[in-house]
Amino acid sequence: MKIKSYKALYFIIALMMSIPALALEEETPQQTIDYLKTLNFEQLLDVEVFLDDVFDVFDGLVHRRKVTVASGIEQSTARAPGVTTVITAQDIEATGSHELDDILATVPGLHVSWDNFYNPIYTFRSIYSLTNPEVLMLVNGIPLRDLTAGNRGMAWGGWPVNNIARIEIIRGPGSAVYGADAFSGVINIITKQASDIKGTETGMRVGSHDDFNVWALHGGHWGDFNIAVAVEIQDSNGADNIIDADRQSLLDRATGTRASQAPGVVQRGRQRLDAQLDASLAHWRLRAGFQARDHLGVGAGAARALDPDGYLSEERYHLNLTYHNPTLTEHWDVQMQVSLLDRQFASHHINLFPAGVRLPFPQRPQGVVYDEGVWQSHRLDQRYSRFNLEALFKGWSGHLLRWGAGYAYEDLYHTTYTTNRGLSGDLKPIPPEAGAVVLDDTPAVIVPENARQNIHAFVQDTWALDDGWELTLGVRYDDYSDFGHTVNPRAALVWQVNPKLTSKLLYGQAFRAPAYRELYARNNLFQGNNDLQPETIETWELAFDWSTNQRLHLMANTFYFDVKDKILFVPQAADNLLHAMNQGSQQGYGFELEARWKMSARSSVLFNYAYARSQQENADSYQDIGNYPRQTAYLRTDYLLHTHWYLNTQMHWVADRQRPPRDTRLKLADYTRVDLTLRYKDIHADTWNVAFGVRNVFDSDQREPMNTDIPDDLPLPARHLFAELRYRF
Amino acid sequence: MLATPKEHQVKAVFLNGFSKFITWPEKLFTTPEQAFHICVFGENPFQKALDLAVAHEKWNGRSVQIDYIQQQQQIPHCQILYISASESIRLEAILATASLHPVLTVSDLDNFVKQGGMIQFYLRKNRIRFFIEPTSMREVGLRANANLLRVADIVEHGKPSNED
Repeated sequence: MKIKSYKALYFIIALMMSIPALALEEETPQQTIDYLKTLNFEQLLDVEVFLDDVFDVFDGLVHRRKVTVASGIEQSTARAPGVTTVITAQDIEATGSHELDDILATVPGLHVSWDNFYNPIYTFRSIYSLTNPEVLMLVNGIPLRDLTAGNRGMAWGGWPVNNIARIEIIRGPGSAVYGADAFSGVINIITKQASDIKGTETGMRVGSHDDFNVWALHGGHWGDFNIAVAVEIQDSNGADNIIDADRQSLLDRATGTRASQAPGVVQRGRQRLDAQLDASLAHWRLRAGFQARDHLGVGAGAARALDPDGYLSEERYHLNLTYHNPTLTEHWDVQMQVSLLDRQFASHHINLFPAGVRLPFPQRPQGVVYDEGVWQSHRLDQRYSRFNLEALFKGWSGHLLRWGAGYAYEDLYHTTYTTNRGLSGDLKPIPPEAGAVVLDDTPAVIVPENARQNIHAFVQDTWALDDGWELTLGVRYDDYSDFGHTVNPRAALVWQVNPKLTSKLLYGQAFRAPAYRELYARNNLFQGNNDLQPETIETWELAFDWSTNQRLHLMANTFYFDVKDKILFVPQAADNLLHAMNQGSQQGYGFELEARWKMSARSSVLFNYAYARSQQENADSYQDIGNYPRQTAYLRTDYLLHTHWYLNTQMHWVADRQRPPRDTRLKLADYTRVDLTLRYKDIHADTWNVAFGVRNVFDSDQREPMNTDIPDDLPLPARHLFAELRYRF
Repeated sequence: MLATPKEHQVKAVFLNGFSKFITWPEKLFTTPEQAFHICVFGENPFQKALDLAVAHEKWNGRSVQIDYIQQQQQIPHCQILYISASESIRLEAILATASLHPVLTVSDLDNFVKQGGMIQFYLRKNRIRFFIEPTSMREVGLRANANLLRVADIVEHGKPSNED
């Protein structure tokens, strides 16, 4: 079986590499230039061109890309003072990506796995954790964060891609620019503006698992305003993989009950609505948006016991106003921004344990059987208000000075909690006979309401030392009203060795802010700690970027990092609870290689390979932290098969995933996934655009790690299909 | 009719074409063998297009040579200097050096002519256009042909005079 699948793999790789030989060559650049030279200037001015930065998929893969996320200043990825990746709308379209996570999985050194709620875990360079607060998610440069866990929130529900203009990713620290949680990586989603849409696009996508998606985008003028509007709706049952045994299966064996819902289906259903308005006038831009997530299935269960009935929902409202004047005076480029984000999360009768579970209870040696199961409903409403000011000063020759300051008020303003087990308002166990107990505004509420303020200031100078050398030095100061202040510097020395080769040496410090659950939770499992300090990381990187010729672009980097004061929940014998502490450390290293090759005028290849290791010190010995792949590889090919017909193939290889300490299971099996997308698109007419895709073509068994109480881990979707139709007018 | 050309291909043909509409000071060329130099400072956005555009070209009987340069001390020997977007941070220094010599400066950078550059490409409706600043050209001893000024958007002292 294994040999057979390898054969299939070799076959597909051979096929992917051989098609370009069949592809017909178009006219040569020489012919194009010769023709253009026959024109006079007036005629040349009238020649319609393909814009260089609005690439067709073949050129664009290889060409240098612009990135802002690394320093706040637009730079080529080669020169940016960070290891960055830019994903464009063309990449998203070419790969048939449906979800943010589909396209993020193509980034070297970023592995996307899933937690028990089926929320994504973005593991940058082996920095894995279940709640994943180490990654900062930005939308148009504004953080999208959840105060309780410091991550993206429990009802994340994915992110649709049709309104994404590009995604900029830093693999590495970013706190010197972005502050908290830009720790292992930063993901900045940049949405489309009127000029990115230019007209109206409507689209529909249907796929396996009753997946249905419909969207409309419009970009145009309204009076003097440039207006972009985007609306996208999804309704899906989600892939229906089976989990054979869950946490309740283990409990059933121990207590003689038969409560488990396993074997049962992983709950991945969801309904979602995303709407955004982007209006700009001269130097002003207003963005307003609404996102709804409803009937989100709870994956493998809130407490890793299958739950087919409970669900999660969230509504997010955002509003931001930006004034950006790039030429306020001759030397000053100034930006001011006010933003508001309101998130209203709710869980709806989610079962931690199914009906019929028997659980221990004080003074009841036989324990207690919960006929309705153990369940909870809770709300977490939060609001973020931010004001930022930043400026670029260009008046000092050879220097580009960027500085700024900001204020944020982050408020978990309303929490509710209803449950039938745990601690009651007087912090004594809820008696089983009590049924549902409302714990709003009591000390036993899941996370108490709380607000915090952040004040920050940063300064950064990019100094052109000599021809070809650039030194970037930056530092940011953050003060938080709850845990105190932190200072995070960074340095980058970039050397343009020759026009084709850039090398850079990078150093950065970053921090992760303690989340509310780590600071304030007080329940029968977790005890927060008001004295927590931020978790910190120091990272060193050496990177090379080599455009060997117009057809081949190679990138390589190596890194080392050292995490200190890691915030962990540590079991304490005194009260048998998990207490949040700054206790762990973690060291890691690795390297990443990337090649982009335009094989012919009609074909291109992208390949990347990443290797990473992370270990923690444990009683004078080092142990692998586990759960992440030490090796990943990705191969993407694009072909113009025939006029207007494009074929994209992608192959993901995930390998060498150790178990964490004390998990004695065999290490996770490696997997390979192949995806195909065939697209019809007439780029001149630009009206109809039709695609068909197969995901996981060889129907390989793929699993991502779960806690030992789901012994066979989390199965990923089997082979599935989609069809997509777009029309522009 | 050929397929739609790429932006950089048309710009390469323009860059070479400018030499036919500009007059450089006579004394610039001391020997008959001296080539006419078109320089690209920083990252090369033209791919091979510029090399293809000047192949077998002559300028007043002289061969035309493309130099991809990184160093400011190489600027004086350029007749046309294209400044890549990658050099925005160094722009002031590059323009300061160039302004001491009869060098035609060209770029895609926003506000290039405002900051002392001579020809700035821009895009309108997927077509290439350019601003021209004759004053800064005159200051270094270059003269633009009327036929060039007729098709360009003329900017005087940083202000467009016929912007539409």
